[in-house]
Amino acid sequence: MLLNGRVAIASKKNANGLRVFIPLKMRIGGKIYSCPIRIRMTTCAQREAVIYSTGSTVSLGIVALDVHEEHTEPFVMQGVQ
Amino acid sequence: MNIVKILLTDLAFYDPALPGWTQLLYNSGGSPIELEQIELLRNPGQAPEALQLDLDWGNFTDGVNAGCSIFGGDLPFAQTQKSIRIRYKIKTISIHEDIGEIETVSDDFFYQMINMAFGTDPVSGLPEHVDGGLLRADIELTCPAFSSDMLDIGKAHAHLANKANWKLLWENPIGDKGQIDADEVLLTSPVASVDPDHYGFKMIVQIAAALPVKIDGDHHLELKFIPNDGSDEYVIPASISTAAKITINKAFAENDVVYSAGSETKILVDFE
Repeated sequence: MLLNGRVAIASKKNANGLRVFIPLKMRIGGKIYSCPIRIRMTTCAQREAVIYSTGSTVSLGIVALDVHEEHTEPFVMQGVQ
Repeated sequence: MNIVKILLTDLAFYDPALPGWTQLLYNSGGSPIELEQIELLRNPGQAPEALQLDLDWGNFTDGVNAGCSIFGGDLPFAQTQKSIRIRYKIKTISIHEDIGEIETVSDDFFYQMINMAFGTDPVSGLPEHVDGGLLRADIELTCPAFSSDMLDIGKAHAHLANKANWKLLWENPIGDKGQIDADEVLLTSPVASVDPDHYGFKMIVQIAAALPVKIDGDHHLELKFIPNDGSDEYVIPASISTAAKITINKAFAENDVVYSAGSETKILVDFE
């Protein structure tokens, strides 16, 4: 499969039902070269670690953050089956 | 990348009776069950940099049922329970163009203190009597607190330690009210409290401020707290007062008429 424009090989699901992604490796001239897979994800955080409220209805300030992961070895991702 | 959902997971409240963090229960229409998640947002769209999302702990959705609540007769909390500490992680589900749905869960916990209450007669620190001028007061507020068992105290109380989040309302004897900024705010270490308003732990918020005293009579002080939950400033239900007796040095000439044979005179001045 293609992932961010790079070739990846998706295995069958593992024992936990999650798909294992395997970055491509090539042997050239007796040396192994990895083709790292870079994945950009979005995660969210609360703007302030603690919110104080005198009531029970709260407005949460949420910020979306970009997370970049790079893999050269087989990996699984939360929620991906 | 498109965000599909934002949820709260790993939900727990701090039970001072244990003491420790324990699973939140809720009611979704049937018997109380463990609260696994709260759905804050279900709105496919581009990831915005910032969002303001409302959560009513007495009326939220678990992703399936609407009208869910952590309050109720058969739940640990009545709606009147004060100063509840809750923690959670934030799960984000987004769509990746090649992979499909990806979940991320924040590494850190986030926290709330809801239904925050201050107990009976929480404000003190004004002298019984005061002279005129500028009263440099050290006001003390008893406040519910996080303990070091719950999370790092500095992180927990950063909002309370910010002097911008406290205002003083100073009312003079003729009813004029003025808002005064705090000069400095210091927090004491959290200690155990049996006051149900504090729900386990309290501390003293020490607020230093300069209060003008220009008129004889009783002056009243109220404290305002600025929460970070998106709501308006909150006037703490307590008022303290001090009585001002101002000494005024009123001058008068001892002699009404001064007679002089020259051009230089001496005027004898007395004070009332």
